Amino acid sequence: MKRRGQVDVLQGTMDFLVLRILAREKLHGYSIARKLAELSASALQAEEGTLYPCLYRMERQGWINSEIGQSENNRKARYYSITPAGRAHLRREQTKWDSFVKAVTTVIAGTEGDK
Amino acid sequence: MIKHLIEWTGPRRRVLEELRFHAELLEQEFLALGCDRKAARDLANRRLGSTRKSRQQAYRELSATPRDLLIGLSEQRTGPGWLTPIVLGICSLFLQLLFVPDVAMVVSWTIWAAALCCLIPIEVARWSRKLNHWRYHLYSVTTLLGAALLGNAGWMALIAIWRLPPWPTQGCSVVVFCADIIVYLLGCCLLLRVWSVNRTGRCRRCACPLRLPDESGRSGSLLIHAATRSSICIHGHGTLTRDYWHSAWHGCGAFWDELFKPGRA
Repeated sequence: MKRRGQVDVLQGTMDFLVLRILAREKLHGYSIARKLAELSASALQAEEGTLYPCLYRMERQGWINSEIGQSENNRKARYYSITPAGRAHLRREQTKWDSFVKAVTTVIAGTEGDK
Repeated sequence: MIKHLIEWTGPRRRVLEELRFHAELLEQEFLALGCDRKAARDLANRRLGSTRKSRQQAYRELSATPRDLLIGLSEQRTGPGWLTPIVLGICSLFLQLLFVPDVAMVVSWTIWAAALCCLIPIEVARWSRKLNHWRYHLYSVTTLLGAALLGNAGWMALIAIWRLPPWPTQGCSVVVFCADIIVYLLGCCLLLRVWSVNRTGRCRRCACPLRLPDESGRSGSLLIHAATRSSICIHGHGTLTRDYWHSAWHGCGAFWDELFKPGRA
């Protein structure tokens, strides 16, 4: 459930954010959601109904791997890790994102005086 | 088909497993903060919102809803449409044979009940879309019922043959009965095929047989200048064009009425 001040992850950026998080360490789905909230200071929220399909889809595309492991509460959990193909995709997405942010910033800077 | 079924259940199972794990960990977190089990579960549920909604959203994203399964299965189908009632009939036949002792009674209506249940609603649905085609659809439904009666009469005759002589052994009787079933199934297929071909070649307005077939195109070609056969209704209701891929009916409207309008010279 969304809390006050939280925003949904922008459409199309979920894959990118999840890959960024998984590039650092191997995590299970719940930890990915927690990490995303933690790193964005609780501003971004990955809905459960979007996060798990996204993980499944990325695994099918070969960007991440999953394996069953023991979780912190001694329960079987599915841990996700990034693959070399996932790292290559992440680099491409990072470049795209950087140019997108640069373009938007330029537009904002160019129209600053219009306010 | 089985591969498609596995592909459909895989993501559903995974999502369910992950959402359950997610809820469990959230509950554990609240327990660690000092809540009792019930309060922890309530808080976890409140935080997660409707799990059903999340599940449905996930299924939609992964194309794993029951509707997706139906669409996928229908895309896998390669057989002709009239095969469906036959397959359904055979399945229900074997199911009923397991439970009902009177074999002859079970076989007699099973196939036709399935055929009627599948085809009559289709006819009625088409009928309601094109009201001026009511004669054609009424003809289709009536002939289908007639075929059902004929099929059952055939089955009764086959059963009478089976019951007639005292068979030397039990095995012999079983073999004859199996042969009867095979003949009956083949007969049903043939009847449904005849019904299907017969109704396709009739006028959609008056249900009269279409006449004066005119062939055009090349017989060896399937895409460009494919062989096409056009037949017309002799009462001027329209033309049916059939090629390898499909058949299309082009109605003529009311030009015939226009011709015989009173006062026209």
